Amino acid sequence: MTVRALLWLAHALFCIGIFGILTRRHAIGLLLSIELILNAAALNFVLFSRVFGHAQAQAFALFIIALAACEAGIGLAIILRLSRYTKTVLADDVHVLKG
Amino acid sequence: MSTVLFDSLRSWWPETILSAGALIVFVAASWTHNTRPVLALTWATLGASALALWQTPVPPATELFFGLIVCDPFSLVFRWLALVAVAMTVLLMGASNDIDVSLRGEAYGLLLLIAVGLMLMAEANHLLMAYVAMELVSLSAYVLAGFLDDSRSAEASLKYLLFGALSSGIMLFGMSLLFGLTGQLAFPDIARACTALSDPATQALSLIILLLLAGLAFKISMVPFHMWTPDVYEGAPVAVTALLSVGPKAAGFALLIRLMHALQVAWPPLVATVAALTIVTMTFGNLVALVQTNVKRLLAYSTIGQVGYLLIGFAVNTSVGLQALLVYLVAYLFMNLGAFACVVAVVNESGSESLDAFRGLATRAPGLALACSLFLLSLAGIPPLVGFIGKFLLFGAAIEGRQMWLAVAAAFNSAIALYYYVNLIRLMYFGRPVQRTPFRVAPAIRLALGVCAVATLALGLLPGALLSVIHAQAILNLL
Repeated sequence: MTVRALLWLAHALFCIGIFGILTRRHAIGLLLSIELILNAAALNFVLFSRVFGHAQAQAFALFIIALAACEAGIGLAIILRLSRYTKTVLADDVHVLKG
Repeated sequence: MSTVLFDSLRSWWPETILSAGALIVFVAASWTHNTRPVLALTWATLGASALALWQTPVPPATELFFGLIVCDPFSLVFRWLALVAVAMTVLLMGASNDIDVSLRGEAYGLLLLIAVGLMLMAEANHLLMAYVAMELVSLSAYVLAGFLDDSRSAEASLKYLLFGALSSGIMLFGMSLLFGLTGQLAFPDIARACTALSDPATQALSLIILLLLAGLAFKISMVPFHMWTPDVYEGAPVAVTALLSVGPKAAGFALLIRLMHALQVAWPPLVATVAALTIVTMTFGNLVALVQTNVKRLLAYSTIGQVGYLLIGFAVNTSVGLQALLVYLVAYLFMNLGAFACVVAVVNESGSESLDAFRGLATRAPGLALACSLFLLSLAGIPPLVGFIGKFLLFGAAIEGRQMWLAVAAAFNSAIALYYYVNLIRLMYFGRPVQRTPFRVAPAIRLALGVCAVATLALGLLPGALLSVIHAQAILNLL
C-alpha cells in the first residue's frame, strides 16, 4: 500500500516538474522544476531499493542529490552572468539567439 | 576489496592520469595567468594518457570497479576517439583568439574533464556510472559554452543547461523506472532480468526506453531534442563548438548502443519509431541548413543531418550496421573537426562568422581553402574521401537490414546536403573577396588541419586498415 502511494507521489512530482518546465518563464523557476524531476527519480530509487533490498540504489539517490546540487550551482552562476548582460532573468525576454 | 581496486586501476590508467591532470591544471591555472605552462601541462597529461591507453592490455571484456565499468575493444575505440577529439580541441583553443587569455587555463582543465567523461560514457556498464559520466560531460560543457564575454555566449550556456538538465532528468526518471521493473542496476543483470519479463512488463519497458532515449537524444542532438544545437553552437567559442559536435555525439552513440544491447528484448516494437526519427532528423537538419547564413549555425544543422546518417546504423541494429556506425563516427570525427579548424582560422582572421567571410578565401589562403573543400566534400560523401566509405557502409547496412526507406531517404538527403556544402566551396573559389590581403594560418591550426586532412584522405583511400581494426575489435563482443 505505501509502495503504491509513494509511487504516486514520485510520478506526481515528475509531472509537476514537466508542467513547470512548460509553463514557467522565470529561469530560476525552470531550474526548480528540473530539481523536482530529479527528486522524483531519487525518490523512486529509494523506494525501489527498499522493495528489492538493493543497497546500491540508495547510493544512487545520494549521487543524484550531489549532482543536482552541482547543476543548480552552475545554473545559478550562468543565470547571474546572463542577468549582468541583459538585466532580466525571464527566459522569454532573452533572445539574442534565434532559437 | 583493495585488490579489486588495484586490479581495476591497471586497465584504467588513462582516465586516472586525465583526472589528476585536470585537477593539477585547475590549480596551476589559478596560480598563474600565463597560459604557456598550463598548456604544456595539458599536453603532458594528454600525452601520458595516450601512452597509458596504448599500453593498456585489452582482454575481451573485463569488468572493473565491481562491475561499474567494462573495458572491452568496443570502449577502446571510443576512448581513442575521445582523446583525439579533446587533443584537437586543445590545439584549436590555443590558436583561437576569442577566449580571454586569463581564462584559458580553466578551459583546458574542463576539456580534460570532458575527456574523462567521454571515456566513462563509452565504458559505463551500470546505470549509476552512465548517469555520472553523462553529467560530467554535460556540466563541463555547460560552463565551456559560456566562456566568451558576451550575452550570446551566456545565453547559449543557459539554454544548453536548461535543455540538458531537463533531458537528463527525464532519462534519470526512466532509469529509476527501469530499476523498478528489473531490480538491477548493472547492464548485464538488467539484460538477464529483461528476458524473464512477462508481456505487460515488456510494454512498460518500451515506455522506459523512450524516456531513456530522451537523455541520449539530447546528447546526440536527434530530433525532437535538437533545438539547443544551433543556438549553443552559435554562442559557444568555436573550439568548444568543434568538440561539442563530435565528442559527446560519439560517446552518446556508445552509451546508446550499450543500453540498447542490454534492452534488446524490447527492440522490435521500437524499430519503426527509431527509423522514423532517423529520417526526420536527417531531413530536418539538411533542409534547414540550406538557408543558414552563419557558418556555425550551418555546421550545427549539418551535424544534425550527419547524426541522422549515423542513426541508420543504430536503427538497423545489426552487426553490419554497428560496424558502419563506428566507421562513420571515426570519419565524422576527422572531417568535422577539420571543417571547424577552418572556421577557427577564418573567424580569427575576419572576426565574422558569416558565410561572407569565406568569400574569395582561395585567393587569400589557398591551402586553407583547399583543406576546407576537402572536409566539406568528405562530409557530403564524395569518393575517394573517408566520408564516402562511411556513408557507403551505412547505406549498405540499411539495404541489408531490409530498411529500404532509410536508404532511400539517406540518398535523397545526401543530394540536398551536397548543395550547401558545395555552395560554401563555390563562395571560397568564385566569390569576390571582401579583403584581398593574404592571411597566415596559425601553426597550431595548420597542424590540426594537416592531421584531419591526412586522416580524411588516407582512410578514404585505404579503408581496409580502419575496417579491419573496427571489425576485429568492436563487433566481437557486442551483438
